[in-house]
Amino acid sequence: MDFAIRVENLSKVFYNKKEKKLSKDQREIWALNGVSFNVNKGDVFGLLGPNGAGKTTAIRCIAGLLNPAAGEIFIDNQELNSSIVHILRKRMGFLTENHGNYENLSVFENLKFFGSFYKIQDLNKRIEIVLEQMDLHKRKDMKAGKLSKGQKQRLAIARAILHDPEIVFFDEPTAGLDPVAAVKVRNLILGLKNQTRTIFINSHNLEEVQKVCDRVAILDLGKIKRIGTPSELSKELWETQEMVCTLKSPIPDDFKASLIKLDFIKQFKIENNKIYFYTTDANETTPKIVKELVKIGADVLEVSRTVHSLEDIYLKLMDNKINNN
Amino acid sequence: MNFTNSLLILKKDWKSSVQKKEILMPMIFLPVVFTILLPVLMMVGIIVAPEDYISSFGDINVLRLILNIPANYNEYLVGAIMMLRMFLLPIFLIIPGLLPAIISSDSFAGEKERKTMESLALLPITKNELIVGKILVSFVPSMCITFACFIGIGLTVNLMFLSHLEGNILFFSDLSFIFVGFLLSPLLAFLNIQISVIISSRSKDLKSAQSISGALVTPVFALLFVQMFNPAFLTVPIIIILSGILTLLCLIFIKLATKLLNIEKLILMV
Repeated sequence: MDFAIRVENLSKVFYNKKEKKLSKDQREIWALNGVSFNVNKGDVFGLLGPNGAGKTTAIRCIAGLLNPAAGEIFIDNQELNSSIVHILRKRMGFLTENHGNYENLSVFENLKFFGSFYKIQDLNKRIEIVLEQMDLHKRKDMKAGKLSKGQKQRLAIARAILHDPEIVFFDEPTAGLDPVAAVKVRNLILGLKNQTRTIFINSHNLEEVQKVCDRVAILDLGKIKRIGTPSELSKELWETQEMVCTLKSPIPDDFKASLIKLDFIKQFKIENNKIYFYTTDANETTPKIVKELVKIGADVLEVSRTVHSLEDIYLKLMDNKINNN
Repeated sequence: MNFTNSLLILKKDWKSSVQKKEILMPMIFLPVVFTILLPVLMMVGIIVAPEDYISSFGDINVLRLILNIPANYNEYLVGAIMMLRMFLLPIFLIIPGLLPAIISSDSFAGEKERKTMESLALLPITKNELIVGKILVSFVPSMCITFACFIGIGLTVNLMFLSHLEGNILFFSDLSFIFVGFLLSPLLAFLNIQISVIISSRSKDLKSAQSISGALVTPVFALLFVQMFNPAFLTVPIIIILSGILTLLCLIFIKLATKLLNIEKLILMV
């Protein structure tokens, strides 16, 4: 498999310097503790977790800004180390938690400065293209400090993609933005997705991750709790899947007897004109159920399946954590 | 090492620096004070009454001997050389001692304060390229201003004594000034900048970086006092020895600056 990013047993420890009375071990804060994951080329990968889970630390380690306590990081199968990190960074683009724009420079000057470090053919033309893409072309001569929060974020994204990097990292891309600006940023990210570009998103915004990510890892207290596509995670966490059939009229009692005979249904319940079915594999059983219902003379109005959102998955994981504690 | 990357940092920082009053003002006022105001105020007394001024220091012939002043120099020129050697020579060293501290304390502490350190550290450049860029930002303008001051002081003094020069040239013909201006000053500025950059990279904020860096000028004041009490102290051999020591310190500190630059710490301090 061709991985854009491969992280193996990554650990990062910080020391609480304020608590000097405590021993060295007690002062240790494991921001990352044996984290391993792969990001496929061309995927949008989301690292999800609450504040303080270690998401930003993970990005900073991959970017070579923080030195891991243990573990290995590979970018395009090349091991990341201090001697080549500046070379590998040419293939990466970063949107940091703080936008990091130079506020006393204009929008254009910001991009010109950051773009000058990469071999970009006709930098000025490329800046114009990116500004157009980010809807900032009318503000190119404006000082970055005078931009709105959303515009600052878009400028930071423009900076991240200016050199057309193979891997783009977004750390909380919509944090602090109003809903309209957040949608714009989300659409921009989706627009960036193509077969050659890999996108890595850090977020605690579940809706955002659900909308844009192919694969997700849930990180909590420096450890990966689950990893997979949202539907894989859903299957992993819920043994049964729910399917709801709405009939035209209230369900007669004899229907119940016919439904009990169906062995592929684990459980069901009837409420007025709705039947709730619980099965292990909804893909397999949904057509069978509809067929049986028609056979016994039911007027099927609607069939729907309850899809667990990433929020459900996340909340279930966090709920398990609280219960375990 | 890719020197172009360092020059790009220099260009960006310079653009930002000239927009800041707290950096721009000293860069304008220091040269005006040191090249015009100070020489004029100091030399006026000599022009009015040269004998009185010289006699307050001793016999003119003894002074000629101690300060190695040619015999054909009149009392005006002896007084001017006396003043230049005693006060203006060490004061001249304050410029490369003070200016870099103002500019270079902004180098990393400013980036931290403006929350741009992480985006700067994420650039595809090495630590050395970053350090050299940050050093150049202070060194280039400091040297330009120092050399401008050098020419400024020389022109001011020669113009003031124009009617008494009798074919001689003050300041520019004195090897001590040449060696101070073109050897000791650049080395002092370079060392000061390196130390200021180290301080800036380890300070919590810009203000603390500036106050600590400001203290770097203290050794220059010590030199000023030594020279005031012994105008013959800063001779060419002494300047060469001092420059040798500074070169050695510069080499040590350039290694130290790269070693002490801890990007991880800088980012986590924000």
